[in-house]
Amino acid sequence: MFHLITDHNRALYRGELERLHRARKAVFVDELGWGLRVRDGMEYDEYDDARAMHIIGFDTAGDVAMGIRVRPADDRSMLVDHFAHHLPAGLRPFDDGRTWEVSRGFCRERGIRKPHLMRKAACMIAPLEIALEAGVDRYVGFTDVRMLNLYYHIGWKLNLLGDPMPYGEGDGVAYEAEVSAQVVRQIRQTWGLPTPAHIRIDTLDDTKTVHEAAARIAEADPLQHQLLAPPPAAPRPMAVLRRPQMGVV
Amino acid sequence: MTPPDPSTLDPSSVTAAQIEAWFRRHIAALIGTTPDAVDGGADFESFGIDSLQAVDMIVALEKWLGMPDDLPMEMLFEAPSISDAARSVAEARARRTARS
Repeated sequence: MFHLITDHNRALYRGELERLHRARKAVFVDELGWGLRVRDGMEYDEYDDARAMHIIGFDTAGDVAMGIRVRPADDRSMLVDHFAHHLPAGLRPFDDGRTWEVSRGFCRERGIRKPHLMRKAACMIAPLEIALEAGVDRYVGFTDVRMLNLYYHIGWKLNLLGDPMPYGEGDGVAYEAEVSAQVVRQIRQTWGLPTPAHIRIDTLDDTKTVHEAAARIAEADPLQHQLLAPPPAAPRPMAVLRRPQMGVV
Repeated sequence: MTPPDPSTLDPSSVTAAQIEAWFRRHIAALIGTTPDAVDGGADFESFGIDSLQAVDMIVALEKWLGMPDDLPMEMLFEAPSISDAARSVAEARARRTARS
């Protein structure tokens, strides 16, 4: 299941957020070799502030399997601060109040069968759902070009902002992505996702943890139940190409 | 026997065997082996293919067959074997040709 963590429920997720930042360090620093700031074994940056929202998918052990960060782009954005040279002139301003940025997306969960792909689709529809609810009509972001087919296949509608260019870790490209009811509906139908695909836990009530609260939701909602992490895949005999499955800047 | 180079084939009359050959070449390139070493009786997941590679594969296959956005991922990745997936794709390709 995919938890939305905002400033409103952050206090419930202290341990989970720590694990998120450890996972980001493992993916982006240890596996991809990016020169990012690490503190106490966790990767943080200047966009991990009170306005940042995180979508996290957990595995069966409650560890972070995938995550993605979104944040309003009206005050600052990674794209303007770090990749301005990739942006074409005449672009709609980012401070229009209808633009959010998506970043630090990753997936550590392997598997290409339907339950795994549904979970990836759920992780990628969640940013669109919450942005739509907030009256946002556009995401901006920067991605490695190797990610583009996945975005398109999940159903994101991207408008690439210029040509791909080297960014130090490969070739990357800036993009804007449509946020609309139509896009969300189409992705939901394609992948058979619940409405919404993410869950938002603001109080624990009589449960002890957010995972227990999530399990209650799953018990009551068969579609959400489908988004529980499948058991780990059995070891396979052939070599596995070691590469994070979903890494964006 | 090394499978034929699928790029030399006419995708409008492609057979299941030719699609399987395409799969074996594609997987061999991904995992750094020869097409001969790719067992058509194995499923895709057994080769350690991740979701990015899976999407790239299906996009490339659709492009080769002239079937953009026409092949559900389950057709490949839920199939019990590469050979079974190749048969399903060939049937889908034939149905599409018959309709057009």
